[in-house]
Amino acid sequence: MGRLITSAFANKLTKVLYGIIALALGLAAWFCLNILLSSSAYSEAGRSTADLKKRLAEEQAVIAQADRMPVSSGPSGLASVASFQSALEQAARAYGCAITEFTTSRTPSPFISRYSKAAPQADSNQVEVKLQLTGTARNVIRALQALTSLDIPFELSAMELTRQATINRDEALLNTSIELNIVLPPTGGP
Amino acid sequence: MQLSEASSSGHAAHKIKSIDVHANLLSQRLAEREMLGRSVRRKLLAILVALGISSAILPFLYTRALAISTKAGIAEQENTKLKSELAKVREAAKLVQPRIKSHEMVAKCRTYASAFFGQVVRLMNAPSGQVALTSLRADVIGGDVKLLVKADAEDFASAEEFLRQARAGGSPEDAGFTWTRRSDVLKKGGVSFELAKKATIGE
Repeated sequence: MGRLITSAFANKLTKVLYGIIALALGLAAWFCLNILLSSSAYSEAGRSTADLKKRLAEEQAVIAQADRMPVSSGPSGLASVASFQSALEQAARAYGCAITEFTTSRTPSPFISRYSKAAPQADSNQVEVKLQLTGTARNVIRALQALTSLDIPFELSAMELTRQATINRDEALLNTSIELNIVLPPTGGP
Repeated sequence: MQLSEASSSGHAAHKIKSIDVHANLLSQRLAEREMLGRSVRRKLLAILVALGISSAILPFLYTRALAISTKAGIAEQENTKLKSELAKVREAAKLVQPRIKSHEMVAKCRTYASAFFGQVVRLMNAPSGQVALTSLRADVIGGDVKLLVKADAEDFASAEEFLRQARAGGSPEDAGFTWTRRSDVLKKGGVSFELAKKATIGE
């Protein structure tokens, strides 16, 4: 035993000790680095999961909202212009008014809302309609109001009521010029 | 007679001295061996301590790293699953978007039409028996409706009453006469006037 304990042996022991320490520190550092990286990845994944769940809930809410809406039986595209004209004729007949003019623009143009200062909606179009109705003020307004119950969206842009003849002290026959835009929302979807 | 220590050349002769160092060398070697032994023992102890600490800490760190790495992997898998689910749901939502837009558009247009007719009817109902409307024009732009009414009144007071009624529910500066002039249409000494009104009915 005494012969084994030499300074060379002591030096070897020093090297072994440093080797063990270096190896242990290296492994510990590697594990710590892994822990840090995995923790960071885990937190990032957690945040991403929360964000994805939120977006998923939003999209599902949109689908649920659409499911709650009744399936529209109204016409779409340019067919809605013909339907609007037909509904107007019915309403005019029902309220004793006469349609003296009904003209529409030949082609749809991009929809620009008269009721909003926001930028135009690129995916919708509009068809300009000019019409003239003759009848008493009450009946003209009623006939026009009846059109709002249709599933055809339209925006009134101008209306001019001019007295044509006086019926009695309370009522007069009016000539009503109306300008409106029938909105053609984007088609597609169930 | 005393002999001189000097040699014939005059130099003193060398004295031969000897020291016994055997005892000192042995004790020094023993001390060195003792020191070496202590150093080796210390290093062995340090090795044992290092091994002990390593065997206590490294498995803990390894387990922890493995656990967190596994959790991160599971979370990543869940994310991938959610992403694919979101893509499917988004596609489905895209398909129903036109329906929603169409319904929203119809609802919005109904609200606007109702507001428009509300303004027109309010103005048509405003005149008293002493005022007769000649014409009424309503124009909508940028969410504002501009109403222009031409009417005849039996007297200026009736015209002013009509203006007061037209202002109801809005700011006084939003309605006013554009012009007034004498007119005998309804009654001698009556007035003819034009009234302008502005109201916000859109966004």
